[in-house]
Amino acid sequence: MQMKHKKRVEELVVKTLMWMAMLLVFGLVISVVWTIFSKGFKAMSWEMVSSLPGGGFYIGKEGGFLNAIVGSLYIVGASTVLGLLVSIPVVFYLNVYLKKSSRTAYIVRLALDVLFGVPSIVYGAFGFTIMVYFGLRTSLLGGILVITLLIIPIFIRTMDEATRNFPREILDATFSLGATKWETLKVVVRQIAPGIATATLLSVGRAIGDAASVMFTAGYTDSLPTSLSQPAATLPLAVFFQLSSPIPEVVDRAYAAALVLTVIVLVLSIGGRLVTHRFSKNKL
Amino acid sequence: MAIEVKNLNVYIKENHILKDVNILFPEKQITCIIGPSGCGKSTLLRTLNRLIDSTEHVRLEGQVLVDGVDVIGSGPEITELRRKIGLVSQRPCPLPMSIFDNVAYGCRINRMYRKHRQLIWNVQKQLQAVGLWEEVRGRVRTPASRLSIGQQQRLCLARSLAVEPEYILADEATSALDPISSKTVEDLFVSLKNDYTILMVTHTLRQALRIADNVVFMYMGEVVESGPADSVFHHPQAELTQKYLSGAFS
Repeated sequence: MQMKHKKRVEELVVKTLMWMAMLLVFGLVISVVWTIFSKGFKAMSWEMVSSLPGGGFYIGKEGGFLNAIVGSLYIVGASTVLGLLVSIPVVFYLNVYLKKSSRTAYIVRLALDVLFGVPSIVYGAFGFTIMVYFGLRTSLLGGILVITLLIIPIFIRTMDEATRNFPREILDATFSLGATKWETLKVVVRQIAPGIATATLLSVGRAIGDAASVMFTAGYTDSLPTSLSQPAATLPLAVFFQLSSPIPEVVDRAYAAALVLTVIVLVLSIGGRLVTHRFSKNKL
Repeated sequence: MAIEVKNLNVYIKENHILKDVNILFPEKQITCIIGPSGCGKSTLLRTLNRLIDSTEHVRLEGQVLVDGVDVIGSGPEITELRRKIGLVSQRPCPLPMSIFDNVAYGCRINRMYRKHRQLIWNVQKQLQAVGLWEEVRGRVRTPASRLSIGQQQRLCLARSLAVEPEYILADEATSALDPISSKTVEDLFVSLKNDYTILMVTHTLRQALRIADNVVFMYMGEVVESGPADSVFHHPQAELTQKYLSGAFS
């Protein structure tokens, strides 16, 4: 009887603790979203998302931050494609060509874990040093390349984890039909499609929200970039610059920019989930 | 068109997995390999099509003659060897694509057909050969993973047949299936032996008794006894075989 009672209390305590932890997380999300929405909505208008900054934009006059929206989308889009192009071959090589106990694979994974943990400002400084060495100015291209470097470790390690549970039988079946290792790529990619989608979502989230790495590499501008060699504005920097303004209208616009950033990430996440669902229908 | 194994030794790390194996698998017959778990049956199958290459720290000695050509060592082109030897594994594993693409996959990578119409025709032929065509004809473009387990196993068989192999290796191909599907697949193997040389690892003695022309009994990596099914089952020579058949151990 005593025992039974003890178990019930134990269960109750643990359950309460878990509920509290969950409430904390949930509350955090709600308050972040609430802050951004309530403050951002005031300054939000069609003009904000559809026009470039006018002459007096940074003292609270006319204009919007279309430059930052377009710049962010350019950089994220291009670096996601570049990142995938580099990462898929690496993941494929690590998992299909190298054996499980391979030293090379171990070292590559370790190196990627280190890169994963490197703060983005270091990537920015690294990119900046290289650009100075070659005598380059801040540009869209610089931003794209540095963001690509930033997200490659996320891409590879996330996809790698998805591929490590890859059923060995599928590879055996493919080989026994006469496939070379290279020819199994199609099968591997289809099987890990949900993993690729998850990796892409995580990478895009990191890429679009990072301010430190693009500050010195992509720079900032009030116009739309028309070539890779021109500087480009980004949303995180738009938030950063406007938030430090003493003028209340401009600070509100910082929240509006944050709102746009959040909505973009939200739309991408939901879209990504739908696409993943579509792609994973063939999965075993 | 036969497979002959001569003095085959397989080591994985320090473990001697197959010990001096000598077997002849006669053509166009079903040879069942029986024996307790861990006796090296699966390793033997994986050696024949060299899938064992992907195992780490493995060392092979001896000869495996497929159509008179030794496949151990440098051997012939390994992809061609594997095309010639179909594999049906224990757990059905359709590729992550549609029913049609599963069967067509092997034809495509081996560039067997120039015209799409020939490919379609071959896919249909193989699906008919495994009795799946009537069940799936309206939905060959749907994911293979939606089929039942028994259907998936027959699909895997059709996929193997589509690349025109000469041999079929089956590694406990019916053990994951329900009794009815199991019977269907078993009957399929019997009907296929007119055209293919079939090597089958099985855990069920009764299955071997039903369909085997030849039987190989393995124990601890060695071939204890092999020969025509009738003589192995009814007049076993070795004491170990007698014990195994009587159910003294399994």
